[in-house]
Amino acid sequence: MPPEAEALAAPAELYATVIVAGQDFCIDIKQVRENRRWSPTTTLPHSPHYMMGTMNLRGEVIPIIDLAALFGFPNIEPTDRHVIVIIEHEEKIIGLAVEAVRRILSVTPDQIRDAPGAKRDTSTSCIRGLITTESGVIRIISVSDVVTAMEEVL
Amino acid sequence: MKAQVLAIDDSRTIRTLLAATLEEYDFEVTTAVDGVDGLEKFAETAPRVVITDINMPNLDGFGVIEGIRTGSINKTVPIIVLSTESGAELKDRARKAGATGWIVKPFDEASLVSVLKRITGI
Amino acid sequence: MAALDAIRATFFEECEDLIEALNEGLGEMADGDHGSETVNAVFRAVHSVKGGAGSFGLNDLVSFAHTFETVLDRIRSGDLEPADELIALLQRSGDVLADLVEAARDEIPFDAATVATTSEALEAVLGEDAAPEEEFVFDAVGADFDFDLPVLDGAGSGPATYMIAFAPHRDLYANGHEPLVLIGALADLGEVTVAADVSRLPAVDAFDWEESYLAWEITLVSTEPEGAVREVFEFVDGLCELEITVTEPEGGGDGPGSPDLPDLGDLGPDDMPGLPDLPDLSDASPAASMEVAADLPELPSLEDLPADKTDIPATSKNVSAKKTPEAAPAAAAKKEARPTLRVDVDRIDRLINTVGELIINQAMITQRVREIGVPLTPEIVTDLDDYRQLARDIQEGVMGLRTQPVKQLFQRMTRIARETADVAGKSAQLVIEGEETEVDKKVIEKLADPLTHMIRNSIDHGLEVPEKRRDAGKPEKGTVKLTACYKSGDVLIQIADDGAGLNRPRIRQIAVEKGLIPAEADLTDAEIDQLLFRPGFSTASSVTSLSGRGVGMDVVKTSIAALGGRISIASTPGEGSVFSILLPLTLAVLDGMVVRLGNETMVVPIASIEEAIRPHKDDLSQLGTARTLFANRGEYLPVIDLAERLGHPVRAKKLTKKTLLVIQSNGSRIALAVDGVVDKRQVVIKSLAKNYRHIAGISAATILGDGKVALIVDPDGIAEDPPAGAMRPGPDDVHPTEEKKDAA
Repeated sequence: MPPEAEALAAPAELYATVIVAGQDFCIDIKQVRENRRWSPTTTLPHSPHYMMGTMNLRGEVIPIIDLAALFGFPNIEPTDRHVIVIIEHEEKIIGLAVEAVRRILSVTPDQIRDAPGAKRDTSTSCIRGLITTESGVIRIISVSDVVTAMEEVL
Repeated sequence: MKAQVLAIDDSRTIRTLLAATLEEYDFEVTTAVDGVDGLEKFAETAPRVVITDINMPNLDGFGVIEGIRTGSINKTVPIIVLSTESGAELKDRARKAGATGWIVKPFDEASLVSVLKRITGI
Repeated sequence: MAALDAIRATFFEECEDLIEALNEGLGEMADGDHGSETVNAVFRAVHSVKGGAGSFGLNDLVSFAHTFETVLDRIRSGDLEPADELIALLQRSGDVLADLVEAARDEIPFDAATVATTSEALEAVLGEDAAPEEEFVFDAVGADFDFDLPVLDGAGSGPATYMIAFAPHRDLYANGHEPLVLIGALADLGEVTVAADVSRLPAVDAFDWEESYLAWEITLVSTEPEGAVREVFEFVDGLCELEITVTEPEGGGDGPGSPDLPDLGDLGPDDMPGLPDLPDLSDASPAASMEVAADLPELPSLEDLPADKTDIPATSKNVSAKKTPEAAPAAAAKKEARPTLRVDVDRIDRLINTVGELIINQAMITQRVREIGVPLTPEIVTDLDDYRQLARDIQEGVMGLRTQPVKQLFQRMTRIARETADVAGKSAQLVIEGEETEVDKKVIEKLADPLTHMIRNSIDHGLEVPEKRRDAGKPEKGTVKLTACYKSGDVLIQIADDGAGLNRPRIRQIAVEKGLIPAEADLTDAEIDQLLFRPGFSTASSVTSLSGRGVGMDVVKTSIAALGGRISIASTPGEGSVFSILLPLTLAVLDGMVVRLGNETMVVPIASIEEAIRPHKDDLSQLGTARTLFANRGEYLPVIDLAERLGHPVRAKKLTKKTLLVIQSNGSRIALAVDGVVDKRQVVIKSLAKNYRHIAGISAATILGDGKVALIVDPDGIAEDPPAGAMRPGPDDVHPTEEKKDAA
């Protein structure tokens, strides 16, 4: 992905924009470790439907979350073009399956608006803010809420 | 050449402490874990000064002093006794056994160095 | 002092060893060994803690250790008789000492009340003699000051003149003293003028170099108090004739001062008026330089003679033989002297991880090579085998780095046992065997809590009160045996008590009351025993402060399972109970059966598999609509479909097409249905919970040769899912009544 950072007023934070179910989302780049191509996962029993399974990341066994399913869209049909965004949160390493990673956004805090609506379900509770750009609204994914959702026991 | 010191104590803490302090004052320190080890190291290193604990397994500090003073090499080496007890009786015993001086544990850097200086002139 | 923090860390590391030695020694004393070497070792341990603690200003620790040590010293010298009560007090004191060390290390507060009580108890043992003990710590320098205090005042007003007459005995030299150094130390205090008295020097042919012939008259003009001057001679007290007279500086009219002054005049100007210091000394005292000269040829000549060097070790051996007549301590010293290396556990763990990767990499390469489909030359096959073997060797070696003896863990249990017995009013002894058995360090750490709980249980619930034991014809003192040994690649830890055995009717009754089993459930003894491990079961009919800390045996079982181990019970009424824990030697590898489950591959620990069978139609019987039983060796085993249990999409596949793994779990057996067995191999265990969470029925994950993750099945977890006991038929009761139990 080309790092064409949009020059906005400082102090800016960097976000990686990703496509989930055809829509724009973004993740704080400080929590992103790396991006990997999709590779087949191993099913995790007794897990929510948005848990795609687990895969081997250089010897570490990491869970993969289907963000589309988590946000209430249909489960993705993974292909080689899908990307796993590897994030790190409180010492846990987790993969987020997305359709694509687009670009890096530079955003100042005043550009971020609160997400509308109460925390009703995972499709909204995992969003911690909105960024309005020329091309539309981008939702900021709350990694900690995603991890909480992942740990939920059925 | 750095002056050699042989430090004999069964406590790893005290050995480390002695070595750290003395090395700071540019002594070269050899440590031994008990009396028998101490006498062996004494023969190997021919130290300028010996510092020894009293209560140790295998051979106590008095045994070390006796071993050195009745030996044939370097028998008048200054020997400093390291002890937690500061009783007059113990000092008397140490002196009679042939100790050159003593330091009461816990020792601080200053007293260790001052005793060394008083005994060796270094 | 440099790196004081590092030395502090060394101290606490050492304390662990010392406390271990202390407990060991006290244990031996409790067993009736009051030999001087044992008592001395105990004394030394406490003494070393005190010595080190003093260096770091850990005053609470020093003061407690001091009292403790004083009592031990009195036992050592034979003043005190180590009766049972006293030894019990010593053991309590050892516990307090350990607590104080821990508190100091973690910088947390300690239980001041317990420390005070124990301290008082120790002082009470010392009785009235405790008081002089305090006086034992006196300040030598301070004592010397006393009678010269007036001089201190005078010192403020100007320099005083000290006349020092110093005549060394021959012992002074023998003790390693050197007059030059002493005079040099005086020179540091002020202006020194020295005159040597060579009158006793004999003719050269009569000269004995070990004899002392010289004496000195030293004049010191110094502002230092007399105490400082006397301190110079502190170490030679009794090894010389020493006379120090002081003349006040401005007190010219003083009686004692006046006669001294002419003397000073006599000595000083005659020799070297303006240059009083050390160069003068050698000039002015030829005998002194002769002393040195006599010394000098001594050293080189000895260094030249290697034969002499062998003398010292010989001497040292003689001495050591004299001081320690028993052979045992010498052997112990040999053991201690074995060089060891302290390595940060993290570094070893990184190495273990890397080796784990190597094993996976090796498996992958082997698999890839096979997949290429080209015919393999014998060389490649051999090389691949060698690679595998070497990788395994490295792994084994590295794993060995992380193991340590269970000794320290076991010894901690001695304390737990003691405390429990005290509170529960039981008379108990803990017998330890196999403490040299080595287990992975991490296993040892995680074993502490379960083991503590089990020891408490054994004493609190297992052993009877003394009266009952007496009535039953048993010794009043109950015995709990804690043992460890290797058992075919695993480590077996057992806690055996000689108590009353499990009260099965009572256990059954509690389980019914708590709704864990239906009232009419027909359970075997083994099944009743297993109830102890059920969540929500508490053995104590009255919850005591000891065992009932909110942890039940279910927690113990979960902790053991988390370590890849298993726990079982055997109990005989009136004779006692044995709890057995079977643990893997190391956490990181497991011998597994690789099985197929639809498109998934999973691993079942081989340790839990009794056999793998393709079932015959006749051996399977249907029980209601959902349950199937498998007849195996005269027993009907419930069949559990692994895929179904794990919630995989159900595929219609006949059981006769599947493989049944007969699994031993919680004292019962089950038949686990899988699609097929692929391979048997050693797998590297990877935590699933680290990045995800625990999954019921799954203990961990591993990475197979193809780089894919495979989950490792937890057989106990799988078997447990439906209530245990409720669906276990005995051999004779495969009847529809079983269904009722299920429904209940």
